[in-house]
Amino acid sequence: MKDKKSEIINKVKENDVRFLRLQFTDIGGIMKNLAVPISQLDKVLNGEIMFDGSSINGFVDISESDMYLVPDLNTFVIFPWRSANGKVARLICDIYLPDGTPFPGCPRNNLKRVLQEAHDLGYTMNVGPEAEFFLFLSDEKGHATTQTQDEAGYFDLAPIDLGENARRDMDLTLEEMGFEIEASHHEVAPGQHEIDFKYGDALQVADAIMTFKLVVRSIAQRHGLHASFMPKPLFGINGSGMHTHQSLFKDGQNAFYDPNGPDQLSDTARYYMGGILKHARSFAAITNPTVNSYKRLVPGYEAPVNIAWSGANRSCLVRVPAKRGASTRIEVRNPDPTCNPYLAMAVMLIAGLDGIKNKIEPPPPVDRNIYKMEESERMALGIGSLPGNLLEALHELDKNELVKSALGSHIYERFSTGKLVEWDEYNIQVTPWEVTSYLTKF
Amino acid sequence: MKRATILIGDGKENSRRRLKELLTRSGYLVEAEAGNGPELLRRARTMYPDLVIMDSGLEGGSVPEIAGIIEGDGLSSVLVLVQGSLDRIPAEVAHIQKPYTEETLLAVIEVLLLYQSRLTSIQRQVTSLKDSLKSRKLIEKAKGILMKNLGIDEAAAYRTMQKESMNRSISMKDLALAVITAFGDQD
Repeated sequence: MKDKKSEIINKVKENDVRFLRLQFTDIGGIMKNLAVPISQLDKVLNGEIMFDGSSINGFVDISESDMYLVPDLNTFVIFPWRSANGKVARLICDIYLPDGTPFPGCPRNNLKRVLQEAHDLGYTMNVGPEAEFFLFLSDEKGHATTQTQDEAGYFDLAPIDLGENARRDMDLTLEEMGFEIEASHHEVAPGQHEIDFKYGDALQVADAIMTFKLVVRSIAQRHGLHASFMPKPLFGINGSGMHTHQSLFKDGQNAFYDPNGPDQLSDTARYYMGGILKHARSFAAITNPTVNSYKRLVPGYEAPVNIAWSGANRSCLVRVPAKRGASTRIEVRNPDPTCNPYLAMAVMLIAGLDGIKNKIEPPPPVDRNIYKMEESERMALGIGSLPGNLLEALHELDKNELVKSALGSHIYERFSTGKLVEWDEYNIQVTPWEVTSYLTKF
Repeated sequence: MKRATILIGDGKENSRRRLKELLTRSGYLVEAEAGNGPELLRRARTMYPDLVIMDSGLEGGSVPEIAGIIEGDGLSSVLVLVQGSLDRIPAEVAHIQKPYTEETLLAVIEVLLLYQSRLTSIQRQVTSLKDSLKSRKLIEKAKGILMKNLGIDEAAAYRTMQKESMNRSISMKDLALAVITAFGDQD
């Protein structure tokens, strides 16, 4: 602890860091920043920095507004890009109450609590995310458009792909910040990209996802582009998901692998999957938390709609990649990058653990394209589907005490209240589709 | 001599045209124009012009920030033409205030290009010096490994490496790396 502190102090001096950004994530999955000058470093490292929690949306009531930011010293990193005011470093923080107890409305604290439940059973959770995003052109005011470079008519320039260039710059920046990039490529849709980084401990990966989004957005901006993680920015074009590979380890061994089990999967893996499938309808509100999320979850665009599993079939909610041994894992395909990663991991983990505790057998794998099945066939195979919209998802979540317990009552209440408002706001809009369809018809 | 290439960033079409006309008449190649910040960044990243001349009124991002990105990422040098107060432009960004005479602008451009070419050649030297320092270190290390493992003196170790490097047609640096990998990092 002391070593960590002096290490940070040294790095700050060596690199002439001028500002510290203290980061935390609110319930809605938005990263918040408190920027403090480097003169406050000692206070920061001792967790003595206070902020007004009531100024953060959905955090607390005005009466309990004083909060402490306690940095996780392992998250210290200096941003590699140049900024106008000199070097900037960041620390990810947990939020504590003035009495020194963890604040239950802090998603990071909450994930730690749920991970501890797994730990008590001897498990650690490993996660590998695959986040997709679009790179759009920014307009004359610097605002985002939904135009991709491909359609913008850049014929007068050399055949350089601005998006590819920006993504290469993102890869390099992430690597400088300690990420191990496993894959980085153009996706199905024009302007759509995917960067995958190496799996790791769930808490670290949740932090990494937040950092990743910040880096992708910042670098895109430096390229005159706008990066969007919106799940379905354009009708008729593949949306952006965040497939989440996950596995449990016990005593340093992959607990999902059993060379003698069916498909070389252990009971633990099958039960975990059973739990995921059982609770998928209920945790969708967390893994797919926006109105727009459900516009991605429609048949025909490689996004899962149906609650089933398979080895190769990408129309299923859960896919089990072919790799075995230490790489044995399941891939949950419905989450999208608008989710709060701390909450998403907490709910998926609790669902999987429920499967293990109660020995929930998953249904047999479905190796056919479910999109092409008749409704009656799906019924016969017991294949349910994910909620059709945010409201249905919120109702499903409300009915499931187990999944709610993974959020804690504080987060659950704030989350559902905020999301119902979001739904109502959406619901009273008159959309262009309605105008086109009805204006002249009636 | 190669004509210097210039990228213009200005929101007003009239002033873009006037500036382009002046620059072209004075022998520069105006490769492209951009009407806003993001577009300027996109153009700068695809053409790496010798100089970017941007108007302080350019929209779509803070002017010092855009200048900082273009110079910080080594895309080009920047000259800002400032309308009104100079306060918003930090001292480290090259700029001149409007109104200026044609002679002043052209003189400033020439000075910027001159210093840029000097800077580039110095940077090139630094890179090559860093490279040779790095290979020198690797070669020393590999030499040490050979002396220890083969029980030979320094001159013999060096000759062995020289001979092997010629026999295999690889550089001394690559050979040194191979030696270090083969014997493992021993210290």
